[in-house]
Amino acid sequence: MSFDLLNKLKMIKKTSRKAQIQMAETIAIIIVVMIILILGMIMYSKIKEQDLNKKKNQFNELDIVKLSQIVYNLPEIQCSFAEVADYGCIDKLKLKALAEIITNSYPSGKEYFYYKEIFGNSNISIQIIYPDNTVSEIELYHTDIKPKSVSIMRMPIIVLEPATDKTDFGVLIIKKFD
Amino acid sequence: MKKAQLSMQFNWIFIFIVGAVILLFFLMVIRNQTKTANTELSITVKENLDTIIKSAESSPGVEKIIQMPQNNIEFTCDFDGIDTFSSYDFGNGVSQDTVYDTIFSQREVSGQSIISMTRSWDMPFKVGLFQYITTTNTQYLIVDDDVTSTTGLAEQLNNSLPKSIKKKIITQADTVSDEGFDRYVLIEFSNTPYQKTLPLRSKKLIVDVGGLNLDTYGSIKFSSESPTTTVGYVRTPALLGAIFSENSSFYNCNIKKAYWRLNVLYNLTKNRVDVLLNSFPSGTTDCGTIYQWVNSKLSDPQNLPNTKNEAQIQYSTYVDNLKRQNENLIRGNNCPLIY
Repeated sequence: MSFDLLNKLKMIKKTSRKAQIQMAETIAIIIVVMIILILGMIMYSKIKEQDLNKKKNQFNELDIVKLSQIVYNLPEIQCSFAEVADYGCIDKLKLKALAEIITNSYPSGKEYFYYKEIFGNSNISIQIIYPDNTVSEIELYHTDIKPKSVSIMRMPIIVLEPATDKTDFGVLIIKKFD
Repeated sequence: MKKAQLSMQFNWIFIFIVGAVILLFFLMVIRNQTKTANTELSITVKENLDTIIKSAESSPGVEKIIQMPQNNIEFTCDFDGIDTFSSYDFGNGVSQDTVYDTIFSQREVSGQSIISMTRSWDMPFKVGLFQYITTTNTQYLIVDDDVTSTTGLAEQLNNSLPKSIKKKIITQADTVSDEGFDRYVLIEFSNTPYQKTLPLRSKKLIVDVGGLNLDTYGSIKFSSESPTTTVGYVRTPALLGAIFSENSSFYNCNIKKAYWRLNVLYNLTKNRVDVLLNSFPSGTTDCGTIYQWVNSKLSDPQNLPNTKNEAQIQYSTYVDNLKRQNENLIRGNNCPLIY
């Protein structure tokens, strides 16, 4: 009788241990699967983040190109002969007049606000570099922010002085802040 | 029940619960991914559209067909009496402000093909480019004002509209049947009213041209609106703006933007002429006399009157005079131009 009971107890203990091991195995599998899943998610989000950063940089580059296109074609400063606009040429008188309007309405005037919507967080200036030896710079627009990063674009441009019909060679400098 | 059976059942319950949790997790991931993918698509479309709009600004008169995924774009332009607020919205938090761009469009643009066209608005110098956006789901009907001529106002208008839009010239007595377009825009001239009933979803404009041809000035009555509204226009690009606009308030809002820029440009030109006047004083040169005249006349333009009245005629005449004086500077004088 006591031998039988001892055997039964041994059997129960053995089964219980077996069930415990099985349960532990199942839990371990689930934990491993979850860890793999989480690692996969982390990797995926890292790749996605890199992808998004790449896209963000692409959009930033596109933004500065778009901005340069806007400035290049701005009727306010563009040279024109009668109704024909001259692409890649800036009228010095128009440029100075617009710069004055923007500066006078800085920082809360309607004109400044309007051009801020177009130019955003950027500095736009024109540097005249030839034929005069001295480099002169006319600032069209500026914004006062502490940027995290700056993208700079330089474009060659002709600067026309209409009163004397003199043309200078200059560089349109666009600094776009992020 | 034996303990092994109980353990087996418990295992299955455990598997179901954990399976459900994992399934739920994946469903959430998929849902988020779909949402992100939609937003990404909208951002890409927005960037592409923005690039097209911006690049079109360097090429007036260019017509483009933009292929895009099935997406609704909502264009808005609101004027609160002081300022204008305009943007286009893709509906899932992706939108773009259009402070600088003058875009005439219907409020909601849907479909896979968007047609865009730009026209330079010269008053008389280039003020900016007007952008017109429409779809192939809209039909434009022009009522012929002179069936015996091929140079009538209807023909002129037909030639000014983009080639790729659905457009046709009809007579006053033609019946327009509903061909399944989302929208119909009927343009008639004041002397030749359309006599038949229009399909539903129609916008009717009555154009009263003031000058000898379309590219002068006039008024446009939005007769489908209640109450009917009349707006003014100077030069064809503004007339096209009314045709492509959702309604009179959309047109007025964009025209306000354009006139604001025109004011800035008049100021700039005035400053420029002041400097030129210093270099070529009045009375000493022919150039100076012309600059003096321009300087005395160059004042801020007033808002465009709504009806075809004296002020509008003066406005248009003033633009013509400015253009003539600019041409006089070229003829024989070789002076720097006003614009």
